[in-house]
Amino acid sequence: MAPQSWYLIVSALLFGLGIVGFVTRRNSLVMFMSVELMLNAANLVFVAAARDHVPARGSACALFVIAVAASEVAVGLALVLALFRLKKSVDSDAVRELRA
Amino acid sequence: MDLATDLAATAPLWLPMLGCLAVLLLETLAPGRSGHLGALVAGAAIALAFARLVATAPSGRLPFGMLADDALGRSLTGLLLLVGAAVVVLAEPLLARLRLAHGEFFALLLASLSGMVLLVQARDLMALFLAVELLSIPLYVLAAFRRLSAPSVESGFKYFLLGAFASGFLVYGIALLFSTCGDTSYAALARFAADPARLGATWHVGVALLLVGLGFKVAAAPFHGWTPDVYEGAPTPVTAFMAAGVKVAAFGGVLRLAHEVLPDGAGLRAGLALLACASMLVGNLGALLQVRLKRLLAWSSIAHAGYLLLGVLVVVAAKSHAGATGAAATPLADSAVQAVVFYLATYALTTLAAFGWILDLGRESAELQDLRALRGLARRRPWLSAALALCFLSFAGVPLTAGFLGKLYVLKAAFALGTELIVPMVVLAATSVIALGYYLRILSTLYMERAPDENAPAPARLGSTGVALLIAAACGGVLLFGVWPEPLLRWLGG
Amino acid sequence: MSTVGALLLGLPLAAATLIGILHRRLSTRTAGTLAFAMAATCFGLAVAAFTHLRGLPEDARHVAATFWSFLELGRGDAALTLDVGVWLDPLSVTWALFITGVGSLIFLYSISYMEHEAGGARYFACLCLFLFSMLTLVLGKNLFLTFLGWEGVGLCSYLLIGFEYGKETAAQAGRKAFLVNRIGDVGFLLGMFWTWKLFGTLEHGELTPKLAAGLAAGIALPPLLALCYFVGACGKSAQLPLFVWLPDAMAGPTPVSALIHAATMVTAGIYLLCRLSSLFVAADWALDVVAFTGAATALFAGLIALRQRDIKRVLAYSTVSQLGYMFLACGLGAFASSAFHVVTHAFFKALLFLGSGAVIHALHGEQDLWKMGGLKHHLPKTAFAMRIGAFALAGIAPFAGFFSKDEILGVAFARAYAGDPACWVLWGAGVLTAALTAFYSARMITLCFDGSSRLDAHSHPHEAPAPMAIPLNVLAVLSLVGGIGLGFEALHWLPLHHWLAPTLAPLDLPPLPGALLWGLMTLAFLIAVLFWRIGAKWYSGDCEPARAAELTFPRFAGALAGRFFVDEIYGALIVRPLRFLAALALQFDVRVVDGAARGLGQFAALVGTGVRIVQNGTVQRYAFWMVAGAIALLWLALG
Repeated sequence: MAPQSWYLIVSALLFGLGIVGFVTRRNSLVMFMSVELMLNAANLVFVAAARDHVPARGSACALFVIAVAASEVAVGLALVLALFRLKKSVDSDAVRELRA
Repeated sequence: MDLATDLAATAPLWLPMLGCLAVLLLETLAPGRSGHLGALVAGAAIALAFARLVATAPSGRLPFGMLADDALGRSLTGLLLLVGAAVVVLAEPLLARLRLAHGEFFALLLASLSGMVLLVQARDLMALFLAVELLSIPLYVLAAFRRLSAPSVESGFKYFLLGAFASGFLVYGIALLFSTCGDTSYAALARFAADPARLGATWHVGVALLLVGLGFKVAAAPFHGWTPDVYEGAPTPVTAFMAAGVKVAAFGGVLRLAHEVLPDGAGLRAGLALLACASMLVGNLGALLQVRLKRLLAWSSIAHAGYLLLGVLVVVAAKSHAGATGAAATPLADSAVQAVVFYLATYALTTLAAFGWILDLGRESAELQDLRALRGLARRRPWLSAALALCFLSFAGVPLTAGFLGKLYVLKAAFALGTELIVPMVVLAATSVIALGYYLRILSTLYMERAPDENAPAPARLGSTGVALLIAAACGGVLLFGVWPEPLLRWLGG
Repeated sequence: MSTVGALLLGLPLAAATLIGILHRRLSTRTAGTLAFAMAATCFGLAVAAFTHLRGLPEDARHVAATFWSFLELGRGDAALTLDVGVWLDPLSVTWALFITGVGSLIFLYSISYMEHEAGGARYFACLCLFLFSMLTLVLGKNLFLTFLGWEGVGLCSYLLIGFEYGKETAAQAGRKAFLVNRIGDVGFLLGMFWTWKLFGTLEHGELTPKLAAGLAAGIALPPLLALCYFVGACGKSAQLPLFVWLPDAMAGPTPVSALIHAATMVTAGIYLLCRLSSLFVAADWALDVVAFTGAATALFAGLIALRQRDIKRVLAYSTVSQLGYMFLACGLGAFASSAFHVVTHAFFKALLFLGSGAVIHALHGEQDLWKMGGLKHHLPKTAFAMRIGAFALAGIAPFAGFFSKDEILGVAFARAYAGDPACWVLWGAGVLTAALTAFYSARMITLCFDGSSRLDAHSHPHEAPAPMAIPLNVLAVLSLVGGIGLGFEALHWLPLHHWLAPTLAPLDLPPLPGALLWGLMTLAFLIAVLFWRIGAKWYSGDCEPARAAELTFPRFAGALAGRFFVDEIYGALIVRPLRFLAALALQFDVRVVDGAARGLGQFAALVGTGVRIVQNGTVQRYAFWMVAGAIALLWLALG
């Protein structure tokens, strides 16, 4: 079985990928997908760590995160939709009226 | 575990949730007509929760093994419920005027409020995460509540994107802490952290990421980018809710973490000091040239996050002071917690008054937010001007206002540690001087400058008795607690 | 006594609240009468407190009264308890006496002065609030209440300077005063926290004995602690380099200048130094800083005063200069002499300001000395009173200022005589300043009242009405007898010093021999008279310095080298350098001091702009900063 540090390294890579994606992409849907990558990096850690500790706890945490992510998606998509109605674009820099 | 006892102890948590469901049900039964009724139900739910809170004494137990039923949780819960009630008062007339009288507003408000209450009571990292999400997700929608108004949607959208990004950090931090300690409850984490030898890189990274996530919620620099934009775009009652409620709740969460879990360490101290100093500097400098009232308050809220973070830093640093061991609390840490809680109470009070003011004078639309529209207002609206002046004096920490005592207690707690925290203390003193620059500018705008057109009619007011009473009560509180803080201290001290 | 203390604070507050609430309905006269009655009652109460303390044995002359507990925070070692209450002892009662005494005279004067101004009732509300704050500052039973009063007087000063909304200069001056004072406040606050940390108390009743005992036991205190308070005192009492606000503060109504910016508020810094005298003495070189700052300020402001056209500005710089004397005295360890000068200065400077107010009133707002002249024919009573004030300021015997100023110079001389060479510099600066003071006092009086009229043809100045004249007369009497009545060192008549002795750090200096004392007095007197005459002659008539010199010293001039030569000597040795120095000092004020203040503001504004450029509205930019912050936190956590 692979040692825990391997899982940590993979999850850190996923997390970093998510950050880079969020900061570099403009399309808000892609940005949100990057956030999902970050959340799932955390899930990977939860599940991998669960093996060494109390398995049920880690899995429960991962489930919580998945559930919360789902509700975030629901609200997020609604907001993106509202934005699209007003601006005909889903790019995050389509809205820059509030600044300075 | 006795379910009934646990439920009884957590009434302030689930009563708003129940109210939320009730409002939603009303909305289904009578679509579009539940406006006033929604406000009533929301007010009733909050009042009930508050009554439950006052009627019972903290048991010190751990309801559901994840929550706290102690003095700190109770006083902050009480504060949050009061903020919630105030926001109901603020929102009702505005929704009616904008013909947005949807029950959903109050349902979302109540859901977010119960998230806040959960946050100050959480004693488990998963409960903390859930609480943060439960308070944030309804707020994203509330910020964008005027869905045909571009600024409102922009504000909700930005808040959502960056908020989700921040929760990514938060969750990953929690996951790392879980992976190194094998548990998410505060008690287990504190036991684990009691032995410094066990704290490896994973732990430190986890704590740092946790700070990123929570730093976003408290609007600390450099995680503050959203604050001015979202504060400006969101409907004013929602902004008030964010400024007062989220600040109290998020700092409640941070405070409990700092008090019960995080062991003192050079890295943590440096990190907190960095956030505190950055917030004080960025917030005050950003506010210096700001001409729009809501944005000005946003920048000032960033600065206040910095002052409060200094208090949190004292809580952490006090642990290794005076011979205390591990994460055990010391009287010094306790007094620092008390100082931060008092600061939060005065800040919430002043913030509610200020946003109530903005609402009352119809500064809802962007063009009226310009400070120049307030020139010479003191002649035509003397009482309102005095109220705003008082708010800003309290924000600036001028003596005989509650804000002064808040700052004093935090500084005092920091001073008890000697010169260990000298850098953030000096930054606090220096930025307070900068802050006077813009606070006084508002005073001089109100009192010293002349209106461009002396004969123009005085700006119209919202005409809501509730809002006027709220402003008066909050200002009265700011003055009263500024001279006679004992009652507030006793209430907050539990 | 606790009732008296409560009333001393309660009455002004009640009056301020009452007038403040009713200010739209009350006429200026009603509000002013009410305020004056309150101030006079307060003076009576202060006298009652004074007689009560006099009746007590010397080492038990203090009364503490607690009204309620303001703050209780923390427990154990970290506990901080602050009470709201009063502390009556010789020091606080002395201040209370002249604050309420001079204060009620100025209140009375204001009734007439403000009669035709808009918002007179609001003015009196502010004035009452000021009196309340000032009494809190002085009588408060702990340093914290003193600080509250300190902030309160600052706020009232700000409100009263900017009293006339419309005047942009007034608004600006108000802001400047407030900002400069905040710098001082930071010092006070830090000092207060430090004191609390060192001594565990801020109560005057506990702190003063502790400090005195520590001083007697020879325990040294950190000089920085004293300097914290010193910075605070510098801000409030307008010392270098924080004095810039005071001359600008003259934009406010003249009675305000008299009360706040000459007689009372600006002496708060001296009060603080006296209150903490044992702390300062025990703090090593801190007193030297005080002394040199005081001497430098006295000289510097004296030089600037030479060339001011605005009568109120002359008085403002002279106030700064006199405050410098008081700091010098504190710095030499002669706190009682400093307090003595505070009291006499309150008399004659209030008189001068009120007199100048009468002049300005008579000339319908004209403040330029070069547009006055010959006013003694129109305003004989005012001219007479002003002349007495100016004599007192110039230090001409037997007027009040002579005795107190001479005492300060005497202490400086005695220190130098006792073997401290640096004190020769201080003494020299003091003497030079005395000469300058006499010179500019004479210049002011001469330009204003003597010579030929340079008034507008249309103006018909008239003497001030009775409510304005009575305070002038009373103050004139006090300026005449206030000095000799309170202290005459050479005759060992020092009632004020004995009265204050239990509350101040003793002066560790052997007294000078009597003959030397008389000699120094004569010297000071001669210098004052000489320079008064020079000043008076230079500026009389058409102000030709040559003619002035010739007329003053015909024999002296003739014996030296004839008229022109004297003129040349004066011109080359005194006038040019003095003018140059005065110009330099003014430039320093304008360029360096103001410039530094402006530069700091601009820097802050620049950074503010930078912060706002970062705030460009895009989510990516914000996220980028979040990531940068996260990386910084990680680096700190792992490093």
